[in-house]
Amino acid sequence: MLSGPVAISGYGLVCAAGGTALAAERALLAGHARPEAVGADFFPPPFTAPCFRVATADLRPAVALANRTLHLALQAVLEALAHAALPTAELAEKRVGIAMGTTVGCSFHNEEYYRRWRQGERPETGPVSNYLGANLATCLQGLLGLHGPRAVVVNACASGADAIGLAAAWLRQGRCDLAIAGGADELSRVACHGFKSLMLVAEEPCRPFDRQRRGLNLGEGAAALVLERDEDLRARGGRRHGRLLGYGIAGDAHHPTAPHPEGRGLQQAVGRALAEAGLVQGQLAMVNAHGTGTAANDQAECRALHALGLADRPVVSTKGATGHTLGAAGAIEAVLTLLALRAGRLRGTIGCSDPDPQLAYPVLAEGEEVSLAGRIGLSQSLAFGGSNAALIIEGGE
Amino acid sequence: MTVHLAAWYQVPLSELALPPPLLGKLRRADAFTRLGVAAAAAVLERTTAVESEAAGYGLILATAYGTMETNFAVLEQIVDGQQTSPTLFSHSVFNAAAGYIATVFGIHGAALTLTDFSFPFFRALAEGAAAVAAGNLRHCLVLQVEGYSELLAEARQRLVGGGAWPPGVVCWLLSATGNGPLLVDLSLTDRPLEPLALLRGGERLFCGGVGQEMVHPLAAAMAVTADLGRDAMVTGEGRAYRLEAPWGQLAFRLESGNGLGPGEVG
Repeated sequence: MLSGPVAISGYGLVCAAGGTALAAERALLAGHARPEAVGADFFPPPFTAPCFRVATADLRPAVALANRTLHLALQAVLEALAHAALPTAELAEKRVGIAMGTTVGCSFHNEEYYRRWRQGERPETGPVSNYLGANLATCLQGLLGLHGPRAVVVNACASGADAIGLAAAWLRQGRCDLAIAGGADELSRVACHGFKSLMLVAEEPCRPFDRQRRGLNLGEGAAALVLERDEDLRARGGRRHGRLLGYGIAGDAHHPTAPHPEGRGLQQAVGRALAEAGLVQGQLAMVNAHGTGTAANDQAECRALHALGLADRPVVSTKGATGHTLGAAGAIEAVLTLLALRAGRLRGTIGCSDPDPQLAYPVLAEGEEVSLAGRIGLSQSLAFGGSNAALIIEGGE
Repeated sequence: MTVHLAAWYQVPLSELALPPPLLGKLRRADAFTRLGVAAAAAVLERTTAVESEAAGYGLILATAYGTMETNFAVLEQIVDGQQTSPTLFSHSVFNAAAGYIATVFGIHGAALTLTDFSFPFFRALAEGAAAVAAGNLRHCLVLQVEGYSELLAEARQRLVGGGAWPPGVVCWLLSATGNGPLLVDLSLTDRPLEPLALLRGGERLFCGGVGQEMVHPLAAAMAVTADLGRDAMVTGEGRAYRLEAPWGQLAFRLESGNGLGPGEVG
């Protein structure tokens, strides 16, 4: 089986919109967004901007873990496994692949250690050991007692989507019996300072696709899917919540940080995902865009969608409710796409009250809602390095 | 479908010499990105032009430690209360090198960056070989780039002893067709990973019953690449490699692909 759909038997999600997939879905449908003003803890003073942090009450207690990114990832994975009715004891008998995307979770960011080391001190080496023991996939393998292929995808903001695509390939290639795939990232000072330096951070709640959009809001979270071959899922009597029909990845080959203005790589990624799914554009019922709220991203996406001939499909961004969660974003949006397809309705983009008429594509604005004309949707991700990823997802009944 | 090694290259940072046409394109790039782009250039100049089938080319870049020095340069600015450099920040992202390679050589296929402390090159090789074997790519660059850092070297010296590891790069080009050696039966098994073991090392590479200790995280990939550079003609039953480490083991074979590959050791 080198092609064909892969069943989604479980999903989990934690983000600022909610501590579970159900809670996040309800918040999204209700139009709730809970960004909090974040200042010098994360940004260079006196700059302040809204960020989407996971509420302490939404983060379930866990054993001592290497970092918050791993904590978020574990919570999403455990929810996905529970949802798939897969006790961890059963996993030991299977070859379970684990692919996770991250950006922050792979770097040594201990400022205190760095500062003291730079001054010629010999700081206690715990943070270095902690860093060496913090590879997301390795940690999750160890915590859950898994054996099978593993990967940590570090493709910047497309990492979560790429991890899902990679895990689906493992299943098709017969390299594992089941796969857990997603992404996780915590809010970080390096990312906050870095995106601020690129002048991409809005000082107000983000407004994806809006005429007055001023940039993105950073966020944190994690999401995970449990993927299985259809026949394996049927054999164990599991429930199929949806299917991953296709995945495409393509490079802009254009610029280190900015997307190609016409979304060239994105068009190719969507084309490849559609080809893998054996579908044409007209069969898509919705698009969950990357929709960060930056001028360049939203324009490139809309031009790509226009060029792809998706002119009458409803398009939204969910970042008005989650913030931009970097390496987690592609996975969070895959879960939110699945939930919208299962519900058969799509709520408009939180923060987009006045859609930008300059964009080549009309998007669903805040407060609007449509019934979906089908059960197949597209979730797309763009990243630094010109990487683009597209997932074609079918919602189960 | 078979997977051939079409070309290969390795070079330590200390011996890196950028081809003049790349100097301008890489003037703002850090050592990590320079290593990746230079290795890709060395490999691609020995094969068909990327432009003729840009979508058929992809790349998988693996790293254990990533862009550590650039990350610390950003951290330094934050700790000092200076304005963060957007250039430094964008180069501190692990997939910056893959983005540069795709841009410089016009690669429009998959560009994945993966990180793992254990067997990073061979994990990427497994993914690249699977993508080529499945027909998703016609050609796939597989790289491991390591830049390390002074902070890491100092911590390693204190924790387990030993000197700094040499930064460098290994790059192979996999192709669906060609005359280069065939890559077959790559298997990998993980064992629970103890963080300090990574700093101690302890990989041993076996080929033909002879084992060699690998003294840094790029050493095994470099040793196999050096073998190819010395003698790319794989004959008879082929050449079997086995890599044993405290954190797992892997094995693969190179078989005759009916020709001598055009690879080169830097």
